[in-house]
Amino acid sequence: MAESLITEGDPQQLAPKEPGSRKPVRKRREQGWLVIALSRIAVFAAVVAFWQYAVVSGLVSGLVVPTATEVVSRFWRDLVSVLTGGAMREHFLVTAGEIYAAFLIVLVGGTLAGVVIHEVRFVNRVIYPYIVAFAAMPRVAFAPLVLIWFGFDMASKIVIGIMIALFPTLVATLAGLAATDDEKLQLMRALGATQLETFLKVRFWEALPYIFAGLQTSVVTATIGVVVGEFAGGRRGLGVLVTVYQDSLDIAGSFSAIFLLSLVGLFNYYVMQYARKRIVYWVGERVPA
Amino acid sequence: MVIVELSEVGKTYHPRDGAPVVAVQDVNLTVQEGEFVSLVGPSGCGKTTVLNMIIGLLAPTTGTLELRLGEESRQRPGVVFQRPVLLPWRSALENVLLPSEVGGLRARRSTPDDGGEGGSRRAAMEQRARSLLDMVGLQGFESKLPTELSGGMQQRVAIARALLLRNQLLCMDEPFSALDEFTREQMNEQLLSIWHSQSLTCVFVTHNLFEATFLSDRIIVMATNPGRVITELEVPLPRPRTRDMMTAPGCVATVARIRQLLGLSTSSQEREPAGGGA
Repeated sequence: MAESLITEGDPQQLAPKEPGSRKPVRKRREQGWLVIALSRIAVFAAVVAFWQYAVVSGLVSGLVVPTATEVVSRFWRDLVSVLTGGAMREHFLVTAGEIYAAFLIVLVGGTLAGVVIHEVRFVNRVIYPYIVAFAAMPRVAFAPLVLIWFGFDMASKIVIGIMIALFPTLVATLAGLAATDDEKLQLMRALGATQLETFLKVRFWEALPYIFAGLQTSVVTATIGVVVGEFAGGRRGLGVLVTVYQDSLDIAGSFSAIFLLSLVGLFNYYVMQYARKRIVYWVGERVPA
Repeated sequence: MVIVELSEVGKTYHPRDGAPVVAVQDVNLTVQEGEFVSLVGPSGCGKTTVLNMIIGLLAPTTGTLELRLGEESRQRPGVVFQRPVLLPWRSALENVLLPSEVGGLRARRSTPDDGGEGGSRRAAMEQRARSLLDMVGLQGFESKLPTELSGGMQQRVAIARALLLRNQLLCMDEPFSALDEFTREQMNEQLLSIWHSQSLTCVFVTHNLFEATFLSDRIIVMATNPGRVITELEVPLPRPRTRDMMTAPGCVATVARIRQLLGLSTSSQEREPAGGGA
């Protein structure tokens, strides 16, 4: 789990699993991959061992930091509880549901809004400064207000998730639509294509890699938004559990809930990576923007 | 029959900051059906501007430009640019099919060779696209993405695309200038055989004088400041052309004559030892 946090923002780290196109490169890569994998396990083991030692030897107080084995066994228990329909499942499903609701709305809404804002030039010119201004705001600070407006249940968390996650996708869509290669537009004009045809056959496709880069950021920021919303108040959810455990000094429980959240994040990251490779197949490993 | 006619055509740009720029002026040019005409000249002589006006990407500021492309007045010239400009998410075959998918509903309904409605038109187009890819030597590469093809292969896909709608007029803007010398010669020969077998009319822009001479019936020589046509030459080589003719006296003499007209010949260099290169 600790490993996932390190590699999360670094797609290159996850790339070596893909077979290379040329043989010599591939061979070298695979050798390197084995060494790297072993080294990663070693780093993980070292961190866990040091953690365990620090607590057991009294370097840090066992009252505020549980031992590594305590955290690992608690996490395992909670994970089993999620999988077998125990008490943790409800919290897990609520948070995951909030994340996916927020993300799906961002996926559809952010992309559509980007298209409309870009295509209607007047709207673009009027709206753009406001988008920039709103994107620059510390939007998490609205969380307590959103709770007042949308209540303590899932709706408020979804709204905060959307507020945080919308901009990466919206901005990436706008950037992608603006980035269309002039030569391709000239070709479409020479072929007598209409505006709509040019959009459907060229502009949208050209924007897709950008949109995916935006969505990959949005899926992570949606998680942050939802958890912040749960911190602000609520009855169910992993973020709620973190605060509840904090109040009762159940540190191992907090760790476990956080790790369950990273599990969701890790899963989302890989799903997005897979989807990007399937849908934006012509781009390869390179991620724009 | 004249199918392209430009009379007193000029193009002037009006940049927001500064004086108007005359890209080209007083161009008189006619192209006969079935002819192969090249526009040559140094950078800035307006040859691409003239071609873009024929294609319809630019409107002339002065003069008149007329295309007479068969009964279907909607038919457009097939276009090949300097770079292949393929859509990287489409296979070679899908790239060739692109022209059949655009142009508005009206244009798509009245395609010359559609057998019937809906699916059968698509099937007919696909069949034609496949045969065009065969013709340019790309059989077996139909499902490849552009990134899997070499530069020469990509440009061949672009040529097939330009001919999908049975375009009579093929306009090419330095289409082979990014290719290596050997590939370029091969493409020249192939282009001539396509031009012949498909009864095309070609307007070809290049700065390579040997290429222009080898390909053309007629060469339009252009100069800069302002961009204009200085003369036209008939190429005294028989058809069909073969690679050997690149070094034939007629070819060499034509190239020498163009060099002289453009101020590139030895005689002008003798007068100006600093070199009269353009």
